[in-house]
Amino acid sequence: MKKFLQNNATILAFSLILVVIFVVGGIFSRFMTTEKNEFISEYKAAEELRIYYESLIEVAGKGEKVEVFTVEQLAKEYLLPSSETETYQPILNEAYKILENDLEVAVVYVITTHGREAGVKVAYAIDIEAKTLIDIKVLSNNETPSFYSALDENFFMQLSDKTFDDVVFKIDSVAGSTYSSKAFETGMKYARELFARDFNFEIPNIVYTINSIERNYDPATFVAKPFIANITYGAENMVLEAYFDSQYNLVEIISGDMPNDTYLNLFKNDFPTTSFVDLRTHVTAYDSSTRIVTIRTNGYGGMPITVAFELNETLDGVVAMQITTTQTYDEEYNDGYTGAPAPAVENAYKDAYLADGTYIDAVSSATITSNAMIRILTLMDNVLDAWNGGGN
Amino acid sequence: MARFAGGKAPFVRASEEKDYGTKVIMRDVMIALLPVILFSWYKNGIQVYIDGNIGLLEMFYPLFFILIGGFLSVLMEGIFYFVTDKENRTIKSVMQKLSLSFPAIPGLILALLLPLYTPIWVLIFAAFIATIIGKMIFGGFGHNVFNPALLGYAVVGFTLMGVINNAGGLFNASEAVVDAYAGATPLGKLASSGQINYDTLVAPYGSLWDFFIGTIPGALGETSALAILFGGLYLVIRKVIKWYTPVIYVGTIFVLSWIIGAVTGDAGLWFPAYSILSGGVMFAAVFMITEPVTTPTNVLGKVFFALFLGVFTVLFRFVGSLPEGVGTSLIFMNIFTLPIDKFTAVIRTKRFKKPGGLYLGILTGLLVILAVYTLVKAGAMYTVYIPFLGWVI
Repeated sequence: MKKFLQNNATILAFSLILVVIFVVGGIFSRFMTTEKNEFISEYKAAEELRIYYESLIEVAGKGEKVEVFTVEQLAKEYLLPSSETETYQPILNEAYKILENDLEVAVVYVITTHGREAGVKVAYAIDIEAKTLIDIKVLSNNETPSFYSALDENFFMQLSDKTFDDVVFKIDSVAGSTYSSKAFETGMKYARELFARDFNFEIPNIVYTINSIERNYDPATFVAKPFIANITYGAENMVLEAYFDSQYNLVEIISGDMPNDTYLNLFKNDFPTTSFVDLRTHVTAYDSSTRIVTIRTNGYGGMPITVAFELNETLDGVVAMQITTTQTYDEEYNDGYTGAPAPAVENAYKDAYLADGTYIDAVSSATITSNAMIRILTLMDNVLDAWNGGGN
Repeated sequence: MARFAGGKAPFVRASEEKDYGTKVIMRDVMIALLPVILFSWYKNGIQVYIDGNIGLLEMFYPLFFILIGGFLSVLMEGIFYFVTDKENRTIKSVMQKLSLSFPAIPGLILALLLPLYTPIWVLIFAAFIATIIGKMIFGGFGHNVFNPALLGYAVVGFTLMGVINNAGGLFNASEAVVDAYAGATPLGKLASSGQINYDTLVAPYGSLWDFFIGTIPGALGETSALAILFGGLYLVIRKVIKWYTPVIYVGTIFVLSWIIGAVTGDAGLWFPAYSILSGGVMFAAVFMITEPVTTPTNVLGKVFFALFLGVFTVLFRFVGSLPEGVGTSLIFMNIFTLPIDKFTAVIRTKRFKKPGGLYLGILTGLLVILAVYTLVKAGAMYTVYIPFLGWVI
């Protein structure tokens, strides 16, 4: 071994130098590569963050700097759009403060709510001083594209410059995209709750209860004032009893004081959510000389069905019916209806009612029209009951 | 009758006078490389460190890489001498041979041709190819056919470029995050877009001034025309190289590029300027096509060599899949060094008489055909529509 080393010392030395260069140089170049890759990753992440912060400033419409705002989730449940009972908790993903000259001018909450699917992630920018929702930016969603695309510019305009002091703090849904619309409304409300917690804002609390809604059967007034509502409202629990028309506008006070417009708007918005009476169906006309009571309801797509009932002389029975309908059965039943063409369903109900005062069962594949006719006939019977206590 | 020395250049002078001899020539070449090496270190190390994009240790890597390249070629050659000369296996004899062989230069040039993030083992492999295969196997200094550094670079370029790119390529940390570069060098953009457009080829990198200074992405030593010019001027003043060789080479590329630019509708001078300032044109013009061993020795030979090289550089740039044509064209032309030398030597003596006139006709004819073909082929890549070309090509 010694002899081998002695004889080959030089070549071994050369080889050793080469190996050292290989190892040390290799480690150095590997280190360079790793550092460069890490630098690029960090740079790209920082760049993405910068672009994201710029987009938040753009949504806020003011400010020059973004600061992370560390806040906790607010426990508050909201109804799932597709359910009348099931609730869910919106998720607060991120929160930022927007600064201008080191002053806080806006706050952005990134909130995920539930539309048709979970995961509607939206940034809500709020002006701290004006207590206004400035604008929103949709970051991501899993909604069905055909439904989501119905949310147009007009819909999103409702989410711009919306003051938090607004008592009626809601937005109109888009027909056919109700669930997706609800996702934004819930997010907006949750953002207001967060803002109230974090910035000592008091959400206007309007207290009222619609105690009951009944029908007005007085033939002299039931056309113009079809509903009588009993409502308790205000911090002092004032009681109001009044007539409301078919559009849920207060027409005449029976007892109590006239509420302010805020309350009137609330009542108007909330009437359709109650279930005291079928608000869709009401008497539109009564001619005492001809004894004709005209009742209208909404069929498919809100299109009207109107029935003119001719009463007998003693006003306790129906002798004739005249139906005016816009139903065609085509669109509403998607070719599922195979019976006689319109107005066969309406006529079937008319014939049965005139024959013996009964309602036939809902016609297969024509349930919307059937239910509309049932509602009309039910109201007619209720009117006759109220007047006489009897029907046809 | 003129006398011609036989054998291969360079011819070792017997004089021991100071400032005279091959040793001095090689020393001057290394001095001329100094501005290029320093600028490369500054651009890829010091400036990037000042930008805050690398650490202190990383700042020294470009210098380390270049010097290791030079050292590796010395080491390889030393090992070769030691192993092959069985009778004189001593350090002293190896050192003596090395002192006559100037082994560091191919390694330095090789390192300057390679991208910054070339792994060291690739550099070792390239140095092996350059020194052992490209130089020693042919017989050592003065006997090689191909430019050793270029051979090492070409082999690595064809076989291991993927490895180099995965390791980081030629973009330093500051350049790697510039979106405007889109991960491409100026010539890479020309190859991928096929468009002669200032906004595509020059604007993303600044201006032509940036090309001249060298603050553009590229291999370690090829980006700064200014630093290379300093070295070139020094070599011309020291009479190490002839001024006309690089001028003819660069001039040929300039003229052909200007014509191509004019044909595509954009007749500005920016495109020929871009052509000579991007890639390895300037570096090759000063340090590689003036290399005495692998290029012709007589004046006319050098002229033809530079002309052909310029035409091939343009041809290989615009036709073919590689973005850079300098290395390929120079390796290719190295094959014809001896024939060109012989032909031009005869032309010098015989002038237009046979066979001098014939040789002149052959060389000139070939040059013209190649030049025309280059213009036509390159022009066909771009948007200009020359109707009859579709029938010809």
